[in-house]
Amino acid sequence: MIKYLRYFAIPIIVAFVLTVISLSVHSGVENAIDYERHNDVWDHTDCVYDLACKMTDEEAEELRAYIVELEEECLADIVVITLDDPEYGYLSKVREYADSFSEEYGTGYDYPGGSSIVFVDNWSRGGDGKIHSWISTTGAVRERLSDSECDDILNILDEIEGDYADPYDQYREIVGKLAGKAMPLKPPYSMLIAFIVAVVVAGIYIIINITSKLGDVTTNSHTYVKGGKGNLKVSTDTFRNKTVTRRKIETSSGGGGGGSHGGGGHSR
Amino acid sequence: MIFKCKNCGGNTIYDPDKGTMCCPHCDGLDSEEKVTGTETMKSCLSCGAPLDEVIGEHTSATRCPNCGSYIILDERVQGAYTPKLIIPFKVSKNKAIDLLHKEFGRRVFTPSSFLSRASVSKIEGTYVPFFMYDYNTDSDYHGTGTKVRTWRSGQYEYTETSYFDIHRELEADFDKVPVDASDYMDDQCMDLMEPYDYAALEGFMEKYMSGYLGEKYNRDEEELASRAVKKLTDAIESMIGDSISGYATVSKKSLNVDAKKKLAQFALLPVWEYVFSYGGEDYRFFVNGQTGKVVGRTPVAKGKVFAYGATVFGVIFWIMSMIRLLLAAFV
Repeated sequence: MIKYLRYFAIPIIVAFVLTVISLSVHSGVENAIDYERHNDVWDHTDCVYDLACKMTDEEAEELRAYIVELEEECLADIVVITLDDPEYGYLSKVREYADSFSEEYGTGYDYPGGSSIVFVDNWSRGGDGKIHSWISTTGAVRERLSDSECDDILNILDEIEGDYADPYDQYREIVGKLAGKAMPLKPPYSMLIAFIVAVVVAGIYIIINITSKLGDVTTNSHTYVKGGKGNLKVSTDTFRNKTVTRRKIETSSGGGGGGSHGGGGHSR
Repeated sequence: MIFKCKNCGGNTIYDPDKGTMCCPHCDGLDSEEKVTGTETMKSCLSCGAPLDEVIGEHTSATRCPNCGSYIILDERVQGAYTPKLIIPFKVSKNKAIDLLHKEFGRRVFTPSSFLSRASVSKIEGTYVPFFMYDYNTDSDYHGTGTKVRTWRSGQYEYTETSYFDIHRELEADFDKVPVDASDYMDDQCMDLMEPYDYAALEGFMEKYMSGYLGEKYNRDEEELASRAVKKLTDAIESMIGDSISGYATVSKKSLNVDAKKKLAQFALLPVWEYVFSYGGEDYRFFVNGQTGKVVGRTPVAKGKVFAYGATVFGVIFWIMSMIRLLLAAFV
């Protein structure tokens, strides 16, 4: 037991010191964050507009209460809007609607026009026969929630089956994920990554320490040769023939592709 | 036979640290007196206790289980079994134990009792029988080598492969190629014990065996010659390989080795052996009694693997979690 404790003394001390530093820094930064809401223009409790009537009243109320709860954690206003309007039957139009909403109504947790997330889902199929959706982000939350993250989150909408399905579960999941990604203290990697790294390191440690070889070979080809080397009487290298082959070189070609709003779109 | 102290009558043994015979009872140096036994010795020359249990088919030197005296069996070190050469022990028992600690002390998954004083004190010095072969060899090697050149022209890449006939003839005289002549000793482990420093080879003297176990050869030189030829053939192939360079690939077509045996000498070489029993299995460790080289594979205690592995996992997971918390404050 003493050998065990002595063996792990340094890693345990490192972990302890790191714990103290991490908790101190984290709590210091957390204390410096302004969690107070500073927006009297926008009524943040009025955050679900089911204009397409896709949810029951109870579901809309539950989603609203859920959003109010999340807003205090992610320090951003969240608005969910469903439309059934052919005027917004294009992704660009839905985007315009979402972007203009925050400007028009002054959403923003920290100030009017500040941190907000507006999610618009227009159920009216456009000219391409698809339902278009958009997430618009403004203010500080734009730095915390990337456009690609918005795109990924909107893929949840693909789980909605048909034009008459109840989207409450998917909306709730989308709102939860948006709030999670928009948290002010966002860790750079998940606990799953920490778990995997720990498993891999422990595995490598075990493999290194469990393998042992019988011994090293400490003789060589000259060890028992008189005089330390043999007499190379004949040493000839004679050219015999040659072959030439050719292959066609494969060529490849490729190519590649800003404002006050960020976000992402989705069509289904 | 037994070597007794002229001063006190105790059993004198060869002391590697002092490089001479020593009496562990009265500390007398070079005070030995040889007492020969009967042709078929069955009892200890010191205390008379029966030696049946410690004398095997090939045993030439043993230790009395009753009084601890070292007995050398006369008929197994004389006549046809007289060793021509011997390398006396240079590494003492305490030094051998230190070397085991140095080699395996840092292994974390070994059982706690692996290098405990009680276990490791059972280490025994043994003179292992070897035959040392002298061979004169002439070798003829034929192989094929390739050289590859590539270049581009237009939309095509060209590869030119040139083939060469490689011919080598090598003459090499081998001196004292050792092959262990003990069935009990593992061949692979004994090969790994090499090399011994032949500058310390001496003509055989019985007194060097006092204080150690020993065996006569289990197989004769004719039976073991094929192992010597295998060893020198491998060496020849390696030497010829060293003389071939500049090729992308080399493939052997033939290697004919004409090996003429010049001499085979029976020799005793010193080895410390430590046997550790764990989980119903015997793990054997060897220390070269002259150079101190250590050979052996350590046992693994599953409980330790789990405990240490789980701790490493726990500490890394904890550190990763704390780093995650720390970085979250800066992102």
